[in-house]
Amino acid sequence: MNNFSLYIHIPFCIKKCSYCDFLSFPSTEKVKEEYIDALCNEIKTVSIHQKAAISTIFIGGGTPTVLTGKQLKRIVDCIYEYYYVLKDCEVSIEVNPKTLDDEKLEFIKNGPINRVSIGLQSIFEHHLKTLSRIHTYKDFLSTYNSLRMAGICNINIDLMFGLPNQTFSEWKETLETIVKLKPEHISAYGLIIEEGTAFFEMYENNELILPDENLEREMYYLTDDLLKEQNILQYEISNYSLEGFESKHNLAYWTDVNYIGLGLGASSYIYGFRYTNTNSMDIYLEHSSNIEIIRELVCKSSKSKRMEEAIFLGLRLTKGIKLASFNKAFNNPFENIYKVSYDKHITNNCLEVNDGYLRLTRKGIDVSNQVFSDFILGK
Amino acid sequence: MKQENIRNFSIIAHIDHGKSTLADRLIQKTGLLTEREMSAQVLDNMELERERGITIKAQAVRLVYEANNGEEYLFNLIDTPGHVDFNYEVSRALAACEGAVLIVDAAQGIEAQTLANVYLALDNELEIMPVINKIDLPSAEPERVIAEIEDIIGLEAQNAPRISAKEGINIEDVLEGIIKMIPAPIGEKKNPLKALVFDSFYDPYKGVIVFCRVFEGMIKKGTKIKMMASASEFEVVEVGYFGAGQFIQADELSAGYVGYVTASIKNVQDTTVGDTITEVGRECDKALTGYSKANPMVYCGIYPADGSKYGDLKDALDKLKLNDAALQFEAETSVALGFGFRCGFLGLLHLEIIQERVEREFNLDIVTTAPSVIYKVMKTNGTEIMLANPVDLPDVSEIAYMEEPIVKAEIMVPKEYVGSVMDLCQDRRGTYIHMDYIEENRALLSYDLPLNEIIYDFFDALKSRTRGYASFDYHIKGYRQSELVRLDMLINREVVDALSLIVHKEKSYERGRKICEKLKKEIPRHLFEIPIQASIGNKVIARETVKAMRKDVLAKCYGGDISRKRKLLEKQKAGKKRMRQVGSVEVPQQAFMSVLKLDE
Repeated sequence: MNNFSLYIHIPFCIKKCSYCDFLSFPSTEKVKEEYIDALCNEIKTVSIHQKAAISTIFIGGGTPTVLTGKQLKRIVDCIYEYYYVLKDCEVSIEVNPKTLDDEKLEFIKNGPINRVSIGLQSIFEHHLKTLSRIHTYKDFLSTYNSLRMAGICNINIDLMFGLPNQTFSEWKETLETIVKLKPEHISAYGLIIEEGTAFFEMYENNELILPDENLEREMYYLTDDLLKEQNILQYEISNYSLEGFESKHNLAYWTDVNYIGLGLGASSYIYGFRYTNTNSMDIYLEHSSNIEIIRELVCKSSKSKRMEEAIFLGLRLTKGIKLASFNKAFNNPFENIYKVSYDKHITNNCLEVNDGYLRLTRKGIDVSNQVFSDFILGK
Repeated sequence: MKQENIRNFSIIAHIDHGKSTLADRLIQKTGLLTEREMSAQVLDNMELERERGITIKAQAVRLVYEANNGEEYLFNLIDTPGHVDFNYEVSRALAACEGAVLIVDAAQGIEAQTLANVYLALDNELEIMPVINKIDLPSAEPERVIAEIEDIIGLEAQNAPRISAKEGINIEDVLEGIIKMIPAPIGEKKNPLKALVFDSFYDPYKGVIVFCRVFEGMIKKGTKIKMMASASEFEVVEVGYFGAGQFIQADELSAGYVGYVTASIKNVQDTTVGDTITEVGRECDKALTGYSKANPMVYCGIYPADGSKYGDLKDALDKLKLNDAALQFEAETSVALGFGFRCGFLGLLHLEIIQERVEREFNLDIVTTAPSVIYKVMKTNGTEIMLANPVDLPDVSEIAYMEEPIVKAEIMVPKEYVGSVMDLCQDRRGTYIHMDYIEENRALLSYDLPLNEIIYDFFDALKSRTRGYASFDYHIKGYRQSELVRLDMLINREVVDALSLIVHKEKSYERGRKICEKLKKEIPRHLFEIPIQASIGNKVIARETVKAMRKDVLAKCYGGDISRKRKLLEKQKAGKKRMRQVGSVEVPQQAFMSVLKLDE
């Protein structure tokens, strides 16, 4: 049996954030209950269809903790019933401050959860308000502390920079404040204005004042520099951790590990084929035990696609791509296939080779889409 | 059919006055086509003609009409192109007729092309029969327009049919009028053959199909014919006449008839419009007058967007040339654009039409460089160059002086816009000749203008300044000495040959500045800073900078949704593919054409 990662999508939240374009929305208790039934049916069906040993589980959203502890337990129990979960499996859940009560904490404490990711985004109330977050910084602290008391010793904190009206010193203060809490992992995302979000509309109407690109990049560089001093090291474009605390689930996405996405709109990657589940709640609730109906093949496997992905996913990692492994996997020297793009980006200082690994430079990270698109073979 | 029952005529009009619509009505009324077979504008064959609502090539059709006097008449209607670029073709089509039906819009009245067409018809000694169209419009003023025709053109117009071609009102008046007003052809069947070529087109099965009007003698299958201008000889395979959209074979075409001839002719160049057909061994005394070769006035480079499609582009141009003797092209190479062709056109509309036909009929993406007129360069060593490509301009030290083509432009415009039209002409280096008020509210302005000032966007500028009320016509007048320089554009310090232009010295700074601004908008940010410069000789006269891209990064790929990221990268890649590599800079193809439209 091959190792797989599992992603479980909980598409519910209390209130949509201004920047959020993920599949998530407020909902009724009835729908939530039906959703869990449907999700368990899908888990059961897919587990028969695709035997797998599970090495990481990630329960994400939305806000998974809008469900009750009992509901969350049903999901986890179902996974453990139908899948063979490895002993050292990383089991993560996303938590938003102000959604964690004693009942849920009890579930986290007593269940298999061993990693928690908390969505904080900013320590400043005015940013939290702009982002339409439902919590304060104080709410976050109490969530953080209660998780520590519950014995969770692998915590990630999600932060965002490049926020409307955000200054360099505010970002610096955010980082300095957070590192004092000694989290094992930090995700720091540059804000992207996505179509269909509240921010997008405001942006189109010139109602958002965003830091200019130079300042935004300065904030990004600061993140690396400042966290490094605390031994929180960058391992991916937006992720930093203490050594040994890199998210295994996150790494799976970049390193060609198979994963099964379960739940509404979830994505799967199975032996080179990519699938996406339906976005329609009605279809999902009715047909979740029939993957023919709910799942769509979005990308067929081909050698050129796998090569492209090995590059544009692998280069997200700070250490880069091991060229020898690439050559072996595709039975073709990297330099042969990509001579022009490789030379171009080595010359313009976006890529570098270090110890047999090809990786993005800082400049290369800044414009990584431009670099990656040159490696699309377009076949 | 008796010769006196034949009528050969054209319909002439200003653009949009309803020429093609009337032609359709006449065809319908004479029963050539049933309602069901009628699609609007039957004579406009090409898809492009219908879409643009203009007639590009002359077409002809034979109608049989039973008149009120009980006799049958044979009408040959020869449609003419409606645009100044194709004036020569109009003139030859008219030469094939005895008369012309002049349509004037009952609301618009006489326009610049109405006059231009009337002059052409008078040059060809045609009988002109005025028709007032669009009387159904609420704004129609037929009496005013009739007065205008009498005052300005000097044609008796009281009895002119008042019609609506669109609504089919009084169409019979036109048919009866043609019988009364337009003379029957003369000419003798027994005389040596003398026929005028007024159009030709290439058919893959029959070879070139020559459209002609027989003035003297007779032509039939087996006749050995000679084209008098090209001196080429052929044996006739088939003769016939034109149904609507189809060729109908006939035994012979004799004096007074209009029809077609095929003779296994491979090359449309052998049958240029205006040439005279005669019989080998029994030649007519002299050719019909008025033949001249249609010379291209405007040149530009056409390149395949995808360099590997060079061969396909050549095929496309070869095929188009089969039907279009005025189109010229020869291979050229550009550093920026690779292998392509320098093409010559009658005018800008002709250029646009060829461009669209290449893209549409042959499914090719092309890049067109800025159009250029032909300059005369007098060198210090006494030789003269006709310059069609700015890149070929000799070094300044070798140039004694340069000349540029000048046109005589006639612009008809409502009184309130006279000022702004004069400003426009002044701005385009025009020389004022005179102005007449053709009626109280409308003026006819006459200017000499350099052709290179009108080939870009003059017509658009004129329309926008007069809210579409001005009409415009021009004729080449000759060459005039002028202070001209070559403006070069540099992208990232490299001269881009495809962007070089010849401009008047006084305009060079402004043009250079505007092109820099335009290119700055068109060229996407790269990973490095890109200077864009305009220079004359080695002197930089304008500069803009495309700043380096600072950021293009996806912070997050949520929940393993890689296909979304893939789509983004594939889109970016496709965008890059449509670019032209100029040194290390990727220049979008539209940048090469955007420099034409600086007035926006």
